[in-house]
Amino acid sequence: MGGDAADFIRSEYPTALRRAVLLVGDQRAAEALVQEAMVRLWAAWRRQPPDNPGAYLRTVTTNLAISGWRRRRLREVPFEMGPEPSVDDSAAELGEHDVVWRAVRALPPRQRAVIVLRYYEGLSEPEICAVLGMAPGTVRSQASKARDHLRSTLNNEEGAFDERR
Amino acid sequence: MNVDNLDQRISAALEARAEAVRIPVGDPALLAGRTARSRRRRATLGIATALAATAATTVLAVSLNDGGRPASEVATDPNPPMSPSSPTGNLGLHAALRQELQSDTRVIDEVLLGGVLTGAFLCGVDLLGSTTEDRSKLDVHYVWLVCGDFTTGEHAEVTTAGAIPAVVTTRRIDMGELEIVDVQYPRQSALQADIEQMFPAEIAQRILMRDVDPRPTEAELVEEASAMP
Repeated sequence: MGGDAADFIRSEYPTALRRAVLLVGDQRAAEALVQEAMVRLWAAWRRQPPDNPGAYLRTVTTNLAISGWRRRRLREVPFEMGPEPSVDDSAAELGEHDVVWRAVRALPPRQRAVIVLRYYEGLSEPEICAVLGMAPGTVRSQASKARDHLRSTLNNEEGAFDERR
Repeated sequence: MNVDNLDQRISAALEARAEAVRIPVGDPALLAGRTARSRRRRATLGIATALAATAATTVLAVSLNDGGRPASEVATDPNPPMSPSSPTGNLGLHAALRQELQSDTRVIDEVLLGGVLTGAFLCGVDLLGSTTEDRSKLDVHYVWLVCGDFTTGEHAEVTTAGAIPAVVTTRRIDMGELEIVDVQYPRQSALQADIEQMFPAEIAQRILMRDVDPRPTEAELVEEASAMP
């Protein structure tokens, strides 16, 4: 068992971590999230190897990001002290994408998850429904709200930028 | 101002952010496998320990104040004498505290922010330190709680979780038995100030830096929930 699971985890880890950073917006939190997801995958593999381990990992990671882990982080936010590696550290590297990324990062977790699955993972609506366990109408609604919010935020940010110029 | 190409801009921004992610060195598979095996062992041991401790502390009674109040006077000394272990030993105290705290509706309300409990409410506890007062037979324990609402059965998962520090006051009765007489939390509206007031300086610093290690871990709690019907 260990060999197959280990090989999969090694090969999939970079992809999973990139996904997690987009979902939670923070490198350190993403590493912890992926570790938790990998441990769950390992335990599941021990019982019975998943038919599609990539899909299993994506589902676990995404749902951890928007459910229990999200709430815990919200409660723990006031305890954050001192500098931590975060997306802000690499803002300069992001250049022109920074404004958009900041707006995505500010979305509520479920909306952000829908955006990440759609625009980064390239999943179809039925696939997003399967990952999130949501009805198609809910996914459409979340996507619509997210896009409206992003459009509004970018309009405001870029309007303010134009005025400063 | 141009957001007409919103879809393309979102895709490009996410791709750029993903490319900027630093991939840590090390073997994630080794860590995952080792952690999974360790959790299985600890989950088995933890459940047995908790059951034994519960049987040994039959007099436990909990009297919790309303959540969200600042500390009582017993916890205002910033540098009280610290005791490395409780009268019953930290392992037994840890299990007994955990057992009582996770079954109290006021703790549930505090963690779930008034939400409705839908599954099993389980907690991990980090006992950060204790102070002992021989004359009053009161002990004050400084804990970090991570509690959650878990679904049970084979596919157990946490659905809601919260992490909070708390000051738990217990009274020694005799024969090593304890009575929990008070639990206090910092107010969310004045979190840092309350933590600094309620906890000894060293422990307050650990809490503020989140230098805590509650046990069982979330994954172990999931294992525990998965063993429940």
